[in-house]
Amino acid sequence: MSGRKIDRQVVIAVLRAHGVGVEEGPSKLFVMEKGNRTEAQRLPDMVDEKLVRYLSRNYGIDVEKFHDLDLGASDTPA
Amino acid sequence: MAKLRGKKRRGQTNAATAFHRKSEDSTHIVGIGNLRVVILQDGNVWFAQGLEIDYAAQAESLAKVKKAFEDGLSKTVHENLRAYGSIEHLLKPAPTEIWKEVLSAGTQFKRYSQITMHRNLQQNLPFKAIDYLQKLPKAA
Repeated sequence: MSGRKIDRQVVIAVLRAHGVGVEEGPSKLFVMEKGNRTEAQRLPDMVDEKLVRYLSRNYGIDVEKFHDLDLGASDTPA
Repeated sequence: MAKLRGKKRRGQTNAATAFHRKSEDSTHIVGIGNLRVVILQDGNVWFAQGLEIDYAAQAESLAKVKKAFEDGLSKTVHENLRAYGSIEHLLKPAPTEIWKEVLSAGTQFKRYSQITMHRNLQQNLPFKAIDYLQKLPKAA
């Protein structure tokens, strides 16, 4: 059974709301930066639970934030 | 040359390695060798998780997830060189719980290998070899 998927724009909004710099490059390859972590990720239109958990642990964001638009998905830093 | 921290399994002889050199003309040469990547399929979603380097990718087919992983890690190396001048921050293994999750006892794996080399960071992949491990359904 497939896990829950989250829209890419929501994932990006949550990341940005928690201090992660996200810049879009070619071919949906996004460069993410926070602290001393920098990486490039090709985010699909719908991001699967495993990738959400990966982003969650690497950027110190509770995974629930990605599922709660009120708490995480805003354009303003937390 | 740095030996990446990781868990050694019985019979494993090819430890993951990484090196970074900068030539006189400021060309960075980065090699990542024998990186193991576990590939998991969940319906029409494919997920690739590096073990000795905590990097992951997702796509909708096996070929696409491998390409997403390779392109993403290559660009990640580039961005780390651009931001920090080194790949030091990238050389971090996946957490223990991830190892346990993807290398659970009784799990069958299929091993893939890919060999690429690079001398120019922006034109070639920085991997000497990637071993892809595909998690297969358990036998009934």
